Amino acid sequence: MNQHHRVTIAAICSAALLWTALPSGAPADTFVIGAEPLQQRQQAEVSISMRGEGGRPARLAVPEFVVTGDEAGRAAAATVSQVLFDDIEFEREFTMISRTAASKIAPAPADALAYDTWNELGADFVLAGTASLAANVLTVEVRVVSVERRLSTFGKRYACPVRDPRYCAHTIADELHKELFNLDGIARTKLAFASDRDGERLGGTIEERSIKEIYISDYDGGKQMRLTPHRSLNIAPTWSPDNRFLAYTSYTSGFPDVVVQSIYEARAATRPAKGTPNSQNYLPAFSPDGARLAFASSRTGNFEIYTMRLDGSELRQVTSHPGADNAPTWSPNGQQIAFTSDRAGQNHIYIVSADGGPITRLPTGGGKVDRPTWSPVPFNYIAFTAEVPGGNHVRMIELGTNTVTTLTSAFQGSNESPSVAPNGRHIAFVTTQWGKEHIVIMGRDGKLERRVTTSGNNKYPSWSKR
Amino acid sequence: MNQEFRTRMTHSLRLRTLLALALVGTTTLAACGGKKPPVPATAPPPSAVTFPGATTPNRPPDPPAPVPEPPPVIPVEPAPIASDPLASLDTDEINRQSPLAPVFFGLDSDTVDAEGQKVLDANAAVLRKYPTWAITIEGHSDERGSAEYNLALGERRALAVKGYLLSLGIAADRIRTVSYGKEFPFDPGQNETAWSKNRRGHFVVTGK
Repeated sequence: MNQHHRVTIAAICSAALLWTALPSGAPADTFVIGAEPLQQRQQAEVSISMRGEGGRPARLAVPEFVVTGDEAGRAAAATVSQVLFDDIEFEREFTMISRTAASKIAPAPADALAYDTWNELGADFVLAGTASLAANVLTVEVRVVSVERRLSTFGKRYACPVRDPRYCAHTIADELHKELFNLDGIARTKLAFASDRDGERLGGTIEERSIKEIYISDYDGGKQMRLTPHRSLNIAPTWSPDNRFLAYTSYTSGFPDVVVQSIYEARAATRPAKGTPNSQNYLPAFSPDGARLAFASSRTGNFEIYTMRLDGSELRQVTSHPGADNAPTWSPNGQQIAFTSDRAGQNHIYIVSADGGPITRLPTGGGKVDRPTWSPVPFNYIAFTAEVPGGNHVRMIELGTNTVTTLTSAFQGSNESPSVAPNGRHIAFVTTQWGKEHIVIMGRDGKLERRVTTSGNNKYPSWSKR
Repeated sequence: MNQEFRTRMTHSLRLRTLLALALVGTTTLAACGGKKPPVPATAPPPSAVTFPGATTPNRPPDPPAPVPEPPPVIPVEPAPIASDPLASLDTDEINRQSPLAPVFFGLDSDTVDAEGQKVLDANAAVLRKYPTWAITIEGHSDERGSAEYNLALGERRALAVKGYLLSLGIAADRIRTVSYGKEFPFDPGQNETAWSKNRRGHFVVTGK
């Protein structure tokens, strides 16, 4: 039995719980949600497997919370409960018992669960929650209780700003996955992408072209917001490792150039590649330590890969070939860069030392490929776009075995531009399945997709690094 | 009446830029008569411009060029000098008239074919006629293929068009290039008719 899937727990108790002063009033996402473990009356060294029979994922029910308070408290608690369900379902450490099935059993606090009824429903665990609202603070207590052992394996109280129940749920989901499975969840991660959803047009020319601006959202599509005001073409955002900056390709000056923009702080955007009409720069990517950007530039007359420090200093040319070298992505340790090149006639993916030198071609199979995205550790794969008759599919190649897998077989239309979640278990990409271009996320096995965007055309997704 | 007309024209001339001098006197007079003459295929360079009765600084007193009898002048305020429909327009208006035709490409190709060369020969003539124009050549692709690859393909197309114009003697400092990949399709359709329109080197006049 995997030790990560066993937790040492304490017997559940109904004794008085610790209470501490709770923070409030900070803005969403910069707010540190107050969280504390629920006190246990007696420490019982009991080991409970978080797996079901035969090692299958355990079956978890997430019923509605027991709420004390007014309508606002009930609405916020309902959101926390639903988003928490969605977060846990997406990570797939549990098999979820549907909300509809769970709703047949009356909500109850963790110490009053109808264990027999939950057992009949097939639940191995129940996530039982209570919530109360006071002074705009939603206090949420959650426990994950083993139906068989009638013991709590996870118990915490959270003080959440009531205006942001989604972030409250995402926090609980991440802490739950960390404590129960030693897993870095992605519930508080973000996506960045380019979109024309606001319907704004370029001025001046007869073509009436749609502008694209950079947007960010929660990983699940919550809290979408526009980040750039350029009224021009802006594409291909990528996150800095600390999530404070986005680098992207902007045509604001009439030609493509790399722009680095702070997301949350009032500081001027920079153009470290110092683009000009004769020195155009594309598709930046932060190195894993955040110190350098890799990018493509046509300054010598065709596309080559370069790296530079964030202030534009220490420019290094990584590739030099008459073919077009493009779309760089860093290896997790920052020692190598994967990129595309059409030097052999059609686009292939190559790997080169970040300092340049000999290149190695990846055996990605037939057809043109594009947009390599190197997975984080402990995985070691590169997701990429592969051209197929009628469009593109997202594929991945395991670097240990060179095994190539198609991830988007279940999708219609064209599917491209993958970006990998920071825990390596999920992929965001663009699909035309629903007509226009939309961002979708799913597992790296191609299962359990979630649509992220609904309006306009949305492309070039980038999953945040943490 | 004719004298008064010429006096007003002279006065008007002094207020205008050298660009107005690029106009052909004969057609200008005709335009003032209320008719739009056809635009000549090639205009003489500015130094060849003469203007009957006009006295311009630094101009030798050339004999008047042969001028056809102007048509009867309607007694209204003379129209602005606009015999050349493009010369007096701002760049937005010029671009709406698309005086420089696009060059189309085959699938995944950056080769300017014979038909494209014919288009560029004509475009070069226009650029010689308007030697102050600066242009941007935009490289575009159809929606097939991947977004990042098409950025590089669009750049290659724009550079191929620029290279051909350079070979025709158009000055490099008049030409900028930019690739938009598949971001700005001209026809949103998902068929070969649309795609063939979207694989192009597109011309925009950016300065005059």
